[in-house]
Amino acid sequence: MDRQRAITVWGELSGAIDEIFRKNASNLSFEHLYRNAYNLVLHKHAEILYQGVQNSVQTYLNTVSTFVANASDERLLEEINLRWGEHQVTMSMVRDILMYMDRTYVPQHNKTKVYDLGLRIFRDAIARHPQVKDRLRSLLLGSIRAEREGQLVDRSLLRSTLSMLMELGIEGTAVYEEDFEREFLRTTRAFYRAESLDVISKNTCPVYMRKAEQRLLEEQERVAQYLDRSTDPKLRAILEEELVKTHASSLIEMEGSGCRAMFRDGKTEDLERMYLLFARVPSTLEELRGAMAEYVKSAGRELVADQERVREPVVFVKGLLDMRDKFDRIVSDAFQGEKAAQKKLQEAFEDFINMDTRCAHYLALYVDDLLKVGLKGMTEEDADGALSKFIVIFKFLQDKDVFENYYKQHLSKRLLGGRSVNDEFEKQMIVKLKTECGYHFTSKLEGMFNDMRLSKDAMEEFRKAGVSRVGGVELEVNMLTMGYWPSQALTTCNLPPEIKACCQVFQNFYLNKHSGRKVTWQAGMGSADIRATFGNSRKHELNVHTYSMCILMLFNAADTLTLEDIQKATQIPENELRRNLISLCTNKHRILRKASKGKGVTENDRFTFNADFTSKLRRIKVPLVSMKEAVVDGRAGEGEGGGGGLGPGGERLVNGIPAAVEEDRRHLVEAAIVRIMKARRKLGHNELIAEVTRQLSMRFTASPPFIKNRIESLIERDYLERGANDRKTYAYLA
Amino acid sequence: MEDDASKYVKLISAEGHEFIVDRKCACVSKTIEAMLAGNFAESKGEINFPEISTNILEKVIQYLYYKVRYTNSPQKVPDFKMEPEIALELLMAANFLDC
Repeated sequence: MDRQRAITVWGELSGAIDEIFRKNASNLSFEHLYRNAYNLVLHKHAEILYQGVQNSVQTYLNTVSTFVANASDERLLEEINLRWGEHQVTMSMVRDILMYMDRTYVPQHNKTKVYDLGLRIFRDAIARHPQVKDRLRSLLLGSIRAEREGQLVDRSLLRSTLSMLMELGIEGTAVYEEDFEREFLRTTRAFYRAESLDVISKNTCPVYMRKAEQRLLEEQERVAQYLDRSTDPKLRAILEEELVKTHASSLIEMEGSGCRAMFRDGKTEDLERMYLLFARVPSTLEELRGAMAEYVKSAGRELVADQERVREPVVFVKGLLDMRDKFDRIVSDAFQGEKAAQKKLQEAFEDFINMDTRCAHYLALYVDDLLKVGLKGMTEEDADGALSKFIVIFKFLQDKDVFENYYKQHLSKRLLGGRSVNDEFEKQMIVKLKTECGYHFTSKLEGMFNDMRLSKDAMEEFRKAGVSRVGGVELEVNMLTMGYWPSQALTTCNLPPEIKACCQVFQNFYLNKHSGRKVTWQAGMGSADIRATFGNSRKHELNVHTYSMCILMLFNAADTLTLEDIQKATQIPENELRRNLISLCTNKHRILRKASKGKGVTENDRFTFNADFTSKLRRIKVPLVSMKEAVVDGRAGEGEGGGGGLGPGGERLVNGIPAAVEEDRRHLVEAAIVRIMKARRKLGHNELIAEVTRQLSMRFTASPPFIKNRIESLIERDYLERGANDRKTYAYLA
Repeated sequence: MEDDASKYVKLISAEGHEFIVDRKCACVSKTIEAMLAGNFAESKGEINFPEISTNILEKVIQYLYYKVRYTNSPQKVPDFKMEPEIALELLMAANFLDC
């Protein structure tokens, strides 16, 4: 085939292509056109063909571009879409008949494929026509803005126009991005910056969040409906910044409707909305968690402060539990149970609960109340539930030894006074503490129960031996192992001779069975039932403290006694003496008459037996007044820990913890040091501190200075020595 | 009838011999596929090949069926037999039909 023939063949083809542009293809034979093009390429005339097609398309689209450029704004989008649709159809037909050229000539000569050639011409001639390009963009942006403002727009028109721009992006020119997206993102940012400022300044936090949520949904829908998918991450980043990140702090702190209010009112739904909104920008989530921690801490401190005022441990712990429940729900429902929030919540609770020893004290009071009154009539399961709830709070406690100290005091009173609701419940509680803190924690408490059981058995034996009644007095003894029970200053007093005889009998009986033991009498912890005869032979049975019994026995011999007389005869410690005397002179139980006026007992006070005492009851329990009322001169008493570490009359505090606990800690730390050093022989200072802290963490947090103190004390006592070369290491001395 | 018409296509050789061929097999040839898909006269399902003789077209069609039969087949693929005399013409046809 020579060149002349080739030009003729191309002429025929060119006419057919024009027919295709005129949509008259159905009469043309594909085979014929294909064969002609095939032959041109086969006979090395492809260049004529390629150049010719390029010219044909260019000429045709130049005509089309005039129509498009002259279209009015209202018609432009439709016109361009129409033309684009036609172009796609015709170009794919042209491409098909020239398939062979695309397959051979194009790759060999590094040309653009026919269809892409069409795209390029369309892009330059029409989409970027000077009278089209900018108009097209502003029409698109205008439609989107109108839709954002609530008008209905022709989405399919937008979709096809934008996908056209996307398809025109060939050969490294990003038409969609350059001609549309860049400006779109800019206007979007401006739009939402203005809108979010406006909305947040006029509305509450929940309203803003609902609006933002709705906007985010709308934009997502926009992407799905007509924007290109590649815009999604960019658009989202802008929205998240303008709608969420910029306003996160303001939303959290918003007066009256921000986080504080939501936490206060338990607005789980709003909080969830906030969480999901903030989850889009992870850094803001940290702020939200922080806000929760702050709120919990301040609410917790308030609870502690309230408690100091009202002193209702039940209310306090219930408050804590409610708060815990509430925030558990918030974290699991609103915050999707995320680990970071759980941790933050835990820390917040630990923060205020461990602020000082008060919480440990209140918790102990709460359990005391439960075991004395609260669990009355409950089934085992209900009681278990109630105790488990308490454990939830207990877990937050770091200085568990402080709690143990208080618990032990209460337990001893419950056991000795027989005031527990149910022994089973007591045991359940011990089991729970054991699971939580380990065997060591409860060993002494269990020892106390053991003592009670042994005492019961011993008393039975004692009674069976038939020697328990001495002179009409029935003695009931509890044998307490030293060290298990809360340490009390040894309180001695002169018991009345009748009782003394009784005690002697028991002591002999007991030592007979267990030789080598030492028995001391803790009169301060006992009580007595005595029968008293008042005027007109009115008989009453009085249940009184042992000391009171000692005092009243004196009045068998005399009607009036001075403070000094009583003191001398009984040897009861002064504070206790005053307390017992006042208890016997109250308005309700005026068994003695006091000479002085007022509440207190004066130095030279005189007491007279009140024969006129009356009561409707035959059996009367005379309770002791609290230590606070008894100590008029304000000097803090020792021993009785009723008021705890806080009120006047409570026990001594060392560094904010009860003295007894501090003492225990000294021993525990020393024991830990010795244990570790014995095993390791030689150890650096820091390693030793770390190891001690770790071993004791179950019971309390030992501060490094405290441990250091104990190390020094051990060095002084030749348990350890400092390294000869390295002063920072210690060696164990056998 | 309509289904039949769309399921089978008619390929006509230079001598006017008509082959009724399964559409799926015919479309193994990219050229034929494009012919049937476009809005040209061939979209009705009838294609003339004025430059391919009957014996070559027959061999091509055998190949189209062979290709469909053994593509992705787990069986061992037998050789496709062709006579050396028609090899060149067959090659030209294959190039033209892109198959």
